[in-house]
Amino acid sequence: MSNEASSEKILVKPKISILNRIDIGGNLVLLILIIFFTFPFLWVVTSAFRKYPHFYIEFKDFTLRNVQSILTGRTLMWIENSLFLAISTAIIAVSVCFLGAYVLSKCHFRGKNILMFVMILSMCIPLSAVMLPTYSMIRKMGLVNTRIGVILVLAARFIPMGVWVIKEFIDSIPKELDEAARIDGAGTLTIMSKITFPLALPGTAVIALIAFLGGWGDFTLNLILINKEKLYPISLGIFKASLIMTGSRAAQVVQIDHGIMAAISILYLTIPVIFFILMQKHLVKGMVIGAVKG
Amino acid sequence: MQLVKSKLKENWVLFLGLPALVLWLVFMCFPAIWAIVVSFTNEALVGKAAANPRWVGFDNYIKLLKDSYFLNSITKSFIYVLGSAVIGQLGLGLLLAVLTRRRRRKKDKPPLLGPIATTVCYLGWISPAAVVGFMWLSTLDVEGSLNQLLHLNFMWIVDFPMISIIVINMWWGTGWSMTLMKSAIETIPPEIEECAEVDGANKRQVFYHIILPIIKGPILVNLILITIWTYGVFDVPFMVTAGGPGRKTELMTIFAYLTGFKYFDIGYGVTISVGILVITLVLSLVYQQFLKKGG
Repeated sequence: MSNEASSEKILVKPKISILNRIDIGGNLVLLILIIFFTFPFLWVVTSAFRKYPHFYIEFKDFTLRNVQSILTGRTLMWIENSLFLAISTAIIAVSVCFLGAYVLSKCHFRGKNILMFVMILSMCIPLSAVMLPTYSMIRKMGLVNTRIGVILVLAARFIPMGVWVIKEFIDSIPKELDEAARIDGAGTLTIMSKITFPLALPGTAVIALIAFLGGWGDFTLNLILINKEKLYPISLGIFKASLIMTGSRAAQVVQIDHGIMAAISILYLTIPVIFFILMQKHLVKGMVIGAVKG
Repeated sequence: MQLVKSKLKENWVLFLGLPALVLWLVFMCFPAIWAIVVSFTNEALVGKAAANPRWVGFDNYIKLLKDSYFLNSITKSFIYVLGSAVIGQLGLGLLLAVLTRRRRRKKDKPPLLGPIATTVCYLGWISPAAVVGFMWLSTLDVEGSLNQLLHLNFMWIVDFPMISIIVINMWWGTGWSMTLMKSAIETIPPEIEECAEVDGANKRQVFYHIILPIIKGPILVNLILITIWTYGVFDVPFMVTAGGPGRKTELMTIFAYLTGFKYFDIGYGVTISVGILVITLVLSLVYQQFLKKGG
């Protein structure tokens, strides 16, 4: 009965009113979700531009002083450390992943399928599940409180996904190109650098970006491996400051400049946002390939 | 010479893959194996047992099985995954994907706020952990902006700790589910929905009987993935509550961290890690099997 009635409605009802053409209920839900997703940003964004920020959101005493002063002293050091981690992770991960992907794509060897299976399986191991044994191992190697320790683990954890995505790109290059070059007398290294690498560049660039963001955003690994203030990246800096902010507010022992913390948070957030806007389609595609096709 | 087929006749090329293999084996795979070794010792963070740990046999495992805090952490992790991944991220992601999908036919109503909602959802997703923790700490503070907005005086993190970290993780992770669900829904040809509508199905019926069955595969894949990921989340809940107040939000990962770095018992902490690894491995194998079957 109800089915018949509604089908008649669809057939009969002409769409005239403008209200009819807007999905009111749907947009209302969307509005609530937008508020939910934007609300936590409001305090950081307003406080970054205030002289005397408090925990409340207020639009007054505007200043650019905070933005200027994050580029000096302690916060500048955090920024440099984060940049160093991100760039080194990206360089190591990409160069190693490209070569690995090349071998996996072009060579056939015994145990290749098992290797790829284990590789994909290892992708599912969360860092938090191995952070204690990783710490124990890195300590045995004497790499606690060194940048290289953090970078090696970060780059290594990136290998399965990186190899997988770049391999997909190399696989899609027509074999005839290789063969033609070989007939012309090019060696394997020449083919790799002159043909394979340029053609797989889009995939490689996406992987470089994701690795950069991974190094830039890391918190857990730095938390367990880095204990020297000189080596703090932005994430650890913000964490330690937030500990003081929430912990000692009652005691008022240490004063933390909320404005500067908000400003550095914005800067910290801006890098991934810019990358994301520039590369949205590729980035999402790379991540979906990495996670789902695996 | 059957080792290298057709194109590449040079075996040395295999060595190019060596750096990746070594780096991956040493820094990603070995810790998982090392965990099993360390779990049989009494390695500590500082002191004598830090440099020269002693073998203690199955002591750590026996302690683990008797430890009521371990059971507590399993329960918390389970609630966390159920709340923030299964209900939160998947549900919210699906809702967003349906509400914001592109207008494909003339008679479709355009989702006016769709692009904005998608953007702000992504914005949360790409935020680094430290900023997420910091922003939510400031939002949920007693003098924070949420209380300002609602004219309340709650200590959100102390009064509703579990709900807080679940909502925060929902906020953080929904972008992924939305992306996956969106791309799944967009593969459905508009004609199918049109047919159903001609036959008199309303919106709800189209969703439950057309869209859902078609994207059942991607939903399951997503469900397993976010279960694995959410189960392994450590950074943001650690930053916001650090397991407290008391042990009310002590997820397995936080339990392991605190045992190792706050109570200095690396050996026992690693044993907890082995527990986490086993559960992760089971979940991953389920995922692999599912992908093989479902293509």
